[in-house]
Amino acid sequence: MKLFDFFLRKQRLIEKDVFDYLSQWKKCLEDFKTGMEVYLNEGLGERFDYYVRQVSKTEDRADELRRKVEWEMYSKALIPESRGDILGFLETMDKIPNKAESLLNQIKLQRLEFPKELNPNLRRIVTLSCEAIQLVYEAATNLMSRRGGIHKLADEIGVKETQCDHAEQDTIERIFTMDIDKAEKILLKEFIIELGNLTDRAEDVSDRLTLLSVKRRV
Amino acid sequence: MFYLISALYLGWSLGANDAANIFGTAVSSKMVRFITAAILASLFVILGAILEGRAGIETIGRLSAMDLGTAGISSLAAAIAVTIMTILKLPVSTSQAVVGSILGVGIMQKQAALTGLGKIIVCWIGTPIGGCIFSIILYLILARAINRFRPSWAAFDFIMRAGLIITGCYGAYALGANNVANVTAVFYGAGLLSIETAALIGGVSIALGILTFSKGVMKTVGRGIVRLDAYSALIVVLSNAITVHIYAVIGVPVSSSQAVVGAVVGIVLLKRAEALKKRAILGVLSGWIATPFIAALVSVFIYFVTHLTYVG
Repeated sequence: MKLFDFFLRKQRLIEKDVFDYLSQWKKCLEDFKTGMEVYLNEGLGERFDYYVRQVSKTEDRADELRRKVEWEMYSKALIPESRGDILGFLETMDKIPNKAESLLNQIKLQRLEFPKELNPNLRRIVTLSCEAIQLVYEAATNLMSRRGGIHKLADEIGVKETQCDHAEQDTIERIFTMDIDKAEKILLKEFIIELGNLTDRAEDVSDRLTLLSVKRRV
Repeated sequence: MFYLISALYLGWSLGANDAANIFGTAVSSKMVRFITAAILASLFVILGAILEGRAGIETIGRLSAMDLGTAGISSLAAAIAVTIMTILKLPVSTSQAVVGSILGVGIMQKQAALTGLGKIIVCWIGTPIGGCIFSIILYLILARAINRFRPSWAAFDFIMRAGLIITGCYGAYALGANNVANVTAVFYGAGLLSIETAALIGGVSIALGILTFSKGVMKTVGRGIVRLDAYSALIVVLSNAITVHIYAVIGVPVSSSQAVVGAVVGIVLLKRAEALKKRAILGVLSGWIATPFIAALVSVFIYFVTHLTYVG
């Protein structure tokens, strides 16, 4: 087995970096979730700003790791079709933390303040998005370690996406029945649409992972 | 030694063309550097020729009793037939060209030994069929093993890469063992070379073809095979190697290109039967018929021309 490991060292190195990327990716989205909870419970402030910075840091670190994996791919450690597959999947994955970072920045820069009665709606969308993202993480690690079960996870992500779409529409409907300024309504609506995009992206990754798992089945 | 030149040319073109069936996938997809593949293939071709080339050399040597001159003619005719087929971009089999040219000379001398021909023709038909059957069986067995152990992405890639190199070496060994007879067996039949010398010279000429001229063919032909996924490509190379090796043991030189086409057909049948291209099947059939026929015609022509006498 030691001999096998010796020959496998280049491939193991890439595998380790991909898993490092995935854990950084997960950490970034956990920080996003906590940041959103802080915002919903306490509103804008020091603690929320801390999480905005935290998400930005972990997103940068994830980007660095992704670039490292891309660089290592060219050391020809993996077979060519794997290189393309992994690079494509990491690029699609990367769109989720990017979106999370941009959402928190949007709240901070636009000083967004949701009316208190919208909190349950917002909380539901955030919860559904984070659950879908957690499922994406599981599917990605399953793909890399060939544990299977990706189709089942993809189905669950699909369900979360549909539920999130409904929650998004309910929320937008509620915003436009509220007695607030029209410009504010538009700002809030835009944010809700952007927030809903998180599960759309999770579904994109899940589609890609499903395709890869079928492609790599012998 | 002059007569040997056409044989060396034949061996060289065989090496340049057929190495692609073995290492084309790995080289064209940049999994293995060309120089590494060429050195490995050359070493294993020579090894195969020396260790297991005897049976084929004896079979071809016995096809027609030749003197040195007619051995040279048949060798040159086979080389010209291979060149014509290559220029016409028709699927070419060196083994069939050699047998066709020997028979052409044998017919002109009225001493063609047709008794061994039946065995050879059966083997020609059996080559793509063998490749096809092996690829189906190996695909199913190895897929079951891989799906059972579920190697990680990295481990799976390593297995594919190492597998392509190992099966490539085995394929080169089988190619040397099987096809060396095409190059120098007629000279063994003519009494110019011993079996050992014939195997060594033949093996080295094939190896030279691989080292000096196979890069382009590897990259072009390899792309055709690499459209398959890595696992299927590995199965194709392994099936080709086993098929060609079996015929080396039986002692009949066969076409590794036809074994590869058979193996690819096997994979396509397993995966998507509707994607089976008639062109691939027609390619094998035209190779079967056209190559020995053209080679026989060329050898008859050369024999005729070289035996013209001036009647003044």
